[in-house]
Amino acid sequence: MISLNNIQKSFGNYDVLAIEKLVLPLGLYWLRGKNGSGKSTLLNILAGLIPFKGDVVLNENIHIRKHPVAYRKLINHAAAEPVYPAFLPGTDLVEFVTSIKGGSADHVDTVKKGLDIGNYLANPTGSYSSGMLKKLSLLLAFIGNPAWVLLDEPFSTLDQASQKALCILIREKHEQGISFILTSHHDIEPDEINFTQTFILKDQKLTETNPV
Amino acid sequence: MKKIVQVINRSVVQPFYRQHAGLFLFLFFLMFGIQPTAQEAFRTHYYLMHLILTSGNFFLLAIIIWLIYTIKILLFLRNCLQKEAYDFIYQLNALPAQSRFLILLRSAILLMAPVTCYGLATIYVAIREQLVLAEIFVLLAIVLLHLFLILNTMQLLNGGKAIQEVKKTSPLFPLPKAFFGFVLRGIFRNQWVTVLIIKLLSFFSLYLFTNIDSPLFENRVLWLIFLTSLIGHSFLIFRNFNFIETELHFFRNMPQAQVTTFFSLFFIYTILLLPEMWALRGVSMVQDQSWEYLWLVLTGPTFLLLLHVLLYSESMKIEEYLKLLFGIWIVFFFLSFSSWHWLLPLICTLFSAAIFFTSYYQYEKKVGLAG
Repeated sequence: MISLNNIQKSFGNYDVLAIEKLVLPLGLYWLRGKNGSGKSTLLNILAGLIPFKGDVVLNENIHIRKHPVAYRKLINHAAAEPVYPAFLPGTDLVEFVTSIKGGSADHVDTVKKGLDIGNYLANPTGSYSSGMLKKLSLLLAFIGNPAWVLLDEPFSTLDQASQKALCILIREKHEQGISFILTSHHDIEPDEINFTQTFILKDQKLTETNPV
Repeated sequence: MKKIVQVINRSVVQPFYRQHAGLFLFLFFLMFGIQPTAQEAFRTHYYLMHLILTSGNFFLLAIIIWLIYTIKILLFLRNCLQKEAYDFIYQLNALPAQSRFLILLRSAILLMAPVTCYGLATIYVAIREQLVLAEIFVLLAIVLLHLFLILNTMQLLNGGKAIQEVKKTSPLFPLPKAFFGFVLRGIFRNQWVTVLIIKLLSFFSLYLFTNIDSPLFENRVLWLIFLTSLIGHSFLIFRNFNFIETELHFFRNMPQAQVTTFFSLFFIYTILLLPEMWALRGVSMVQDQSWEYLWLVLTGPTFLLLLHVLLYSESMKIEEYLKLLFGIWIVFFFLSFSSWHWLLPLICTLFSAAIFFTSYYQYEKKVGLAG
């Protein structure tokens, strides 16, 4: 379970988010909204990437500020437009994240197969196409033993086969007990991912809509 | 053509000087700041120019330093052309070779201004002392360096966007796949010329001063040179910080204790200061001041750590950062004069820890709105 309490975020004088209270039980959530509505900002907050006012609590007792290490152990994130040092090979990043987040090489191989990631990981990330970079960021987001995985526009820049493979992977991981929050402008059909709940982010507020 | 020159000046020349302001500040202090009076500084440089004109070795040394500076410019240009934001510069290829050459010549003159100024002053000394042959050599060296820069830039432009491809390279020495390993690789890969220039200058200035005869040795001057060489690392630190906060931004989602990150940064700057620590051995071995050596060695990495963590206190531009560092340099300069200067490492560590542990998770780079 993840609880958001009095979340406020602004950039300069521009208020982006004002969420009083939101409790999300384990599940699959789809966060929708127009460009600039604050979807990525909300995921960045939940991932512990940017500062904000308020509090985020995992499983009722792990606070983002009081327990930064324990919190980050349970939350993984894949950015909409991932950026990595151009000179680093993907394999180095995978090894690095595995050493911190935990997990086994077998688990990494399974996700690699699931996402159809070829042998290019040994090359520097600067040589990757945007789709290859996206797949690397998704692979990194599945490493370890997270309770929640936050995927920001996971389908953009992926080809159709990879999009389908990602849906299957999300379903499989969810069955294993991992919860997901996704932002996406793509229309996702219920047979692809059966979301627990869909939210619309508008005027700094989250509005629940019916399950898809 | 005037418009094209203006655009190149704004997009290349001005950013070059802005980005290297820390390095220029460091060089300025090293060349003119350590002499007690302006007259003394003038005499020192007159003597240096005389040496360049009369000694083959000194002439060679000057050429090497100027060449390193020219290569630094070339690498900056290469770095710009690797970015898609600079794709418009490839439009120069549509111009006739002569026009392209003239446009690049104007930019080269501006970029090479520090070398040209020092070279012209040397030529003036040569004329005064009637060293005609040496004068021709210096003039030839300046012209050749300009040509070297222009022709290489033209070659970079001719290569087109192929420069934007990233090639696989093996590191010279294996670094661990850890935060500090990635940051050190970033420094040595992205900033090696800056590292080379800073290390050459600070190593030799510290080595030469610590090995002079004891009656001439003065602790306060040593601290002044040392603090100035540390401040000279500011541009490197600023770029390093930005590298961490953009290309390693995902690290903020890693379950790593803050204290580990803090000590990783300390370790990075300790590694970076190994040449200076070696150069300072004379304080202990020649000047027989082992305690002083210990304070210097401890102050170095903690001071650089402080310069780094200051950037977490607020999102700053390089100009704002340099202003802040100038103030810090003055404060530390006066502190180093006092008999309490052994407290400097402790002060740096305490301030670094206080800033880091309160600001690290509160830091956010000022950028456009996120979606």
